[in-house]
Amino acid sequence: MKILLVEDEIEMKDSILQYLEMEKYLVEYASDFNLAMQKIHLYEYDCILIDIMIPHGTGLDLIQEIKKIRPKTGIIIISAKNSLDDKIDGLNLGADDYLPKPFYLPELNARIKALMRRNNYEGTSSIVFNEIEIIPEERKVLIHNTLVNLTTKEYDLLEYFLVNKDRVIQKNALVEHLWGDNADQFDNFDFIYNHVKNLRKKLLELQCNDYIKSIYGIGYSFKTIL
Amino acid sequence: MKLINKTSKYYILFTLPILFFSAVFSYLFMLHEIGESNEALLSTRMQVVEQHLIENDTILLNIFKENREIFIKEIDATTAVPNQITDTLIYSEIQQEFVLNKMLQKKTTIQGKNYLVKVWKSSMEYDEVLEVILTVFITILVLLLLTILFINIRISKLIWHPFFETVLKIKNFKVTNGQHLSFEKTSITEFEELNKSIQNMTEKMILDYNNQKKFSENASHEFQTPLAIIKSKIDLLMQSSNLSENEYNLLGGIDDAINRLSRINKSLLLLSKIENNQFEISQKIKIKPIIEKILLNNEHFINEKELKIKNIVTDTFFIQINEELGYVIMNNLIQNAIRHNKMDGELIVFNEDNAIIIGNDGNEKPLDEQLIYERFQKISNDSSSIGLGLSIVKEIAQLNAIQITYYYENGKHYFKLSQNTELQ
Repeated sequence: MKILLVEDEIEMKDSILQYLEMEKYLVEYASDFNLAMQKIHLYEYDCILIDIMIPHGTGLDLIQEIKKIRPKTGIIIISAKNSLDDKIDGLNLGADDYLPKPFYLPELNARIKALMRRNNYEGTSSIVFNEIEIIPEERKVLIHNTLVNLTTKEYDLLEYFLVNKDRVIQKNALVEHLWGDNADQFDNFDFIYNHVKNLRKKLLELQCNDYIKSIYGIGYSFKTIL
Repeated sequence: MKLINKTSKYYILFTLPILFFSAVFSYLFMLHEIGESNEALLSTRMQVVEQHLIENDTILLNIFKENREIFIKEIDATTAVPNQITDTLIYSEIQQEFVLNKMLQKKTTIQGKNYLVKVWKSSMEYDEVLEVILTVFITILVLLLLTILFINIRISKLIWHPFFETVLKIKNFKVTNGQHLSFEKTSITEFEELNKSIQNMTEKMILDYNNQKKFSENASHEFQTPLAIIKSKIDLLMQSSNLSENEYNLLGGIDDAINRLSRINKSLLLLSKIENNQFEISQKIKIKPIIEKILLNNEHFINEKELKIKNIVTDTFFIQINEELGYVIMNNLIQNAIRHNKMDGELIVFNEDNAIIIGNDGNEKPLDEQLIYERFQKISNDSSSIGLGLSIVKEIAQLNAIQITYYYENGKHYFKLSQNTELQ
């Protein structure tokens, strides 16, 4: 899968590039408006990550151009300019998602995967890993082809783990993924522990392997190699 | 006081003494002139009488006498009569009173005979003169006032027109909508100067406002970017193998700090946006759905503490506020009420005619109302609190003419938002 990253901060670019390459994406990079324009005219991408504030132009103009020439490309805005106007403008122009900086890299990965699924990339809409199958459209989970009854939060957790396999995911990242801005005012993350505990219990009951490992109390990892 | 009334007042104040002094002067001057003309008249009459005496025209003299206008008496040559004009009172039969007269007496010698001749003429009375003067001047005064009033009204319509236009434009001026003021050209230099000054001033205001707006947004951008970089590096570091527990915990600690910094940054940006009045459109917002949404979003935190929720806000209750800010203000208060609540406590939201009240159990000690709205004033030692929530609430309240009060009653803390509006 081919991704274009439009980002002017070199360090930020390096981090995103490194993380996405671990996920086996093919990532190209443009550091300003003009370079980004060249790239989108020359090549076709499955997903473009755009920072709003870039040299020689704005990400919003870029979105307009992409929508004109390649309307099917998925667009995710990654912006530090956390202003509602920009968010609304961006989404109105046809961006698919908006992720304000700072964000967790697994979150970015999850957004990209979700977008690709919605755009029906690779022709399949379900996520399959060994005995686990997730059907995101129906928010259903099957273990050994048996339906598991998960709560909303447990489902979100499992999906997040599955798209970020073998990564160390911090509890903070899980909280942000599950509650978004609402978690802002709370810092008691014990309930994450409870949710993960319940999820594991439900999976184990159906003879699912115990993939979810706790990492020294700071987070979790979905281990594919047991 | 209106300008027109003020100018009229001064016109009148300055005109009155001038008119008064003119009246006194005219009065004295007229008295003097009348006196002089009377004297001249008497001397002429004296000459006429003397002429008649010379001609011995007794008939005419008798008529004069009969009319009580002259007095002639033969006297000895030795009697001395001073040649003088005197004021004297003579009984007038017509008016049936003593009337002031000017009298000229003279000793005249005609054909060897000596006569004492007196001629007199009733002089006009002082009060009559006064009457005339008063009449004249009151007429002048009234005419003058009417003229002043008329001129002023015309002036205020004609000359002050551009001024009132300017005032109207300033009244409607709003720096937030960024519209520059433009004035019609006027031929009056002072107003033209005024308009130019105002135009320069408002342009500067708009420029400053935009700069400030840009600055706070850019500042947020500039802060968030390095934070995002640090955060991403931590994420990457965590993916490397063979980290020890201690290293994971160090990274977790850094990440917590970044999250807090980012939250403070976001809150400060929100505060500056509120202070800069960047939230404009306020409308009647129904509060009940907002509360329901907030309670739903925070369901988990409510369940964690096993809180009992009582939401008895009436369906029709609304507040005049910007929608986004309406959510923020209610969210901050309800989240506070959840966070500072005790296990198994109660959270109650209800409304009065034009007030909404949020009450919660918690620390069994009233809070210090002087301090709670201060920025970075932390009530609890809860590390997740950044101490800006209530400052934001206060700012939003002030912006929307909402009065916020805190009170402590029967072990419960209450925050009351009341909006004094006739719209309810």
